[in-house]
Amino acid sequence: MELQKFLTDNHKSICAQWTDAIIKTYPEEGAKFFSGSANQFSNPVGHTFRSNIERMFLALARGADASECSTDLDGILRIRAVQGFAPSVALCFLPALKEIVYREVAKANPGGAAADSLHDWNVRIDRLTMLGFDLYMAAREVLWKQKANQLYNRTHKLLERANLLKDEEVAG
Amino acid sequence: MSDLPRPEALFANIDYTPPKADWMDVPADIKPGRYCYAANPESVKYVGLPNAHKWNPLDEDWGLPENWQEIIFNGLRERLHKFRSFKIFMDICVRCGACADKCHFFIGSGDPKNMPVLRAELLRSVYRGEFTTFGKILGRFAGGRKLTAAVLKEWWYYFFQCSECRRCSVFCPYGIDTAEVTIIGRELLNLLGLNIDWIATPVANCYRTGNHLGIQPHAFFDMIDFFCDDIEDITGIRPEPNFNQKGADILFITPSGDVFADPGTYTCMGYLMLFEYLKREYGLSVTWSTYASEGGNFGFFTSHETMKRLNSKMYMEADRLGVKWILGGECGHMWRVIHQYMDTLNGPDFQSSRMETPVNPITGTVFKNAASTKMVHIAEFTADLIKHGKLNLNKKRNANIHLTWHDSCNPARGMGLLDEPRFVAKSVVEKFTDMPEGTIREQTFCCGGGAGLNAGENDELRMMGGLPRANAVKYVHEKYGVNMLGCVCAIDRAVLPNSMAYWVPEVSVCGLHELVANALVFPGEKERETDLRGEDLPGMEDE
Ligand code: SF4
Ligand code: SF4
Repeated sequence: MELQKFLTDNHKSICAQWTDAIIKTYPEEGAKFFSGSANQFSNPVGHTFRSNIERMFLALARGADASECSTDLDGILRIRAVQGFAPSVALCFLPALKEIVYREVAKANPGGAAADSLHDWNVRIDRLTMLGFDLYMAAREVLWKQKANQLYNRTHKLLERANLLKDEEVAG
Repeated sequence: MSDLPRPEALFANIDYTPPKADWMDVPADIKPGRYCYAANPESVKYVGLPNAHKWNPLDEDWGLPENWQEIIFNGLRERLHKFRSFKIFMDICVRCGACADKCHFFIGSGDPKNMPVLRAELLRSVYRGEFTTFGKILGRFAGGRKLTAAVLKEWWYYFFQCSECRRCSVFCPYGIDTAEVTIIGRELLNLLGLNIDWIATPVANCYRTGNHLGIQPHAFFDMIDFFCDDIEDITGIRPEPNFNQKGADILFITPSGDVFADPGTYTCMGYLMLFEYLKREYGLSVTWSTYASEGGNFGFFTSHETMKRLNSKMYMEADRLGVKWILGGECGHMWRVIHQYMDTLNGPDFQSSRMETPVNPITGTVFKNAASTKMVHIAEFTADLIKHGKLNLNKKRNANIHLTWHDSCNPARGMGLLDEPRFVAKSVVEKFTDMPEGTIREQTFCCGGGAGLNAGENDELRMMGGLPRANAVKYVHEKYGVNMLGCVCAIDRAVLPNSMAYWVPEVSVCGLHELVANALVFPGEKERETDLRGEDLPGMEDE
């Protein structure tokens, strides 16, 4: 079986399951809303999940490196990073893709040696997961920085006026 | 094939799916990042609010007075009687769900208790369970429940996750305004000393020194003087603003955020330049006040009484100085209080008899819309000047800017100020693109930090709530190259820069009068090389 073709042919079903792996981490009403309206503006979270998942999957299926998924993965993880999840939950949908694809492949090849052909694929998903950690932490870091700077930004003109700032802080 | 457990098996014993349960059975899980710190008891005490005490939202024991339920019941009874709107909102919701997915906090979080209908139900269920015969007998079957400590915590957690933006009310067929329910909910919590510090301390400061940061008059004066230095450096023109001037025609009041926090400071420089221009060209007489040095009114997020007290100083100062009317700066909730609540709060005799229906002395326009409040929004004032050709403007100075417009909830939805800011903006920038329908004007999305929620510790909440707004900005940024988000609200100017930095880092935030001042050409001014931020003007970039 040619994995690349199989993944591309089945991308609709796989992407739906992959999106569902994210959506099911929300309470029922939230999950219903995110998987409902496709409107980009009234449902930005659901829309981002669906469209970014699909783009990432098609890139991976055609053999692209995980790094090509960076922008789309970042779009999803920026949302996950502010929603109060433990990091493992925020990122759980990434390793889930291995299992989703394994199941689909096994279904199409009962008794076949599906697992072997999946080796490369799984390595790519591992890379994607690692990339996910970096992006998730980067998003969290922005939040921490914003928290630390909040008071500074509010009073910075005042401190500057009173000559209480060091030069580089004023410049920054 | 190896015997290693499959990835899903590895995760199999961890269930990421939250339990399905009726909302009443899911107690609030108070998470850091979603709430603001508890009020400093000193601040609560300063303005004479009851039950000031030290407490921590993460503790089991919130240090409530023994008779706390009685206090809430009495408070609720009193308010049901006093506010007919509130009583109606408690009674008439048919749970049609039209409002459910309209709240930016729900849209960004997926947390069902951030659906407006459920947010109101948190309080309504107690009203039913404790106050209506039906609910007392049938309890849960009639949607009623008892007031327990867990319920009180849930109120606190979710009433401080509502920015009182009123977006949900636009969609309710009955006009139910969940913001009003939040307002009463917070008022009740305040009876037990359960405010957040981001509100309580600005309120105390404002009551003491006239502004949120507690800046004293000389420092306020100093800051403005500092802006005049900068303006002189950039334009060669030095504004000479008046302070506390008796007999001035107009008193100008703006949120103190404009005076102390970037990027509001550039808007403040914009006001100074506009007034200087109008003084030189037309003899306009405006004064600032170091006493009424705050337009923002965090009392609005505390209780009707506190809102009234903080609002009153503006009119007391207008009376003391003997001005004819008040010109208000680019503020959000200051305008909501003036437009929606003030007349009822104060009654007809509150204002000085010397105040008049505002007339623009330069154009002769009578602001009939402000006949009762005697207060005009600066966007209306400037729009009127531009319409009458009274300002010499050079849009080219803003040629680097591709602007989109954030309708700030309070001026837009609260008072209908939709077209004036756009008219002014389009008169001073060359490139302007609105965000898509459903995200602007009456349906505008909140910045995510209104109603006192723009603290640092709840950044996650603000980013979640700010997502729908930022998402629409991202769209016009990617599609049309928008790089600036304009607004007329100091809270927006404090909240949106972080939101942009997180969601759309290529877009900056500005106020309206920053853009006006950049475009404003003074007779005989030197050729400017930079804008008010000190950035090179188009065509002036270093070779
Ligand atoms: S007033 Fe605004 S923040 Fe509050 S529930 Fe309605 S939409 Fe949400
Ligand atoms: S739209 Fe109005 S009536 Fe319908 S659920 Fe919301 S508040 Fe109730």
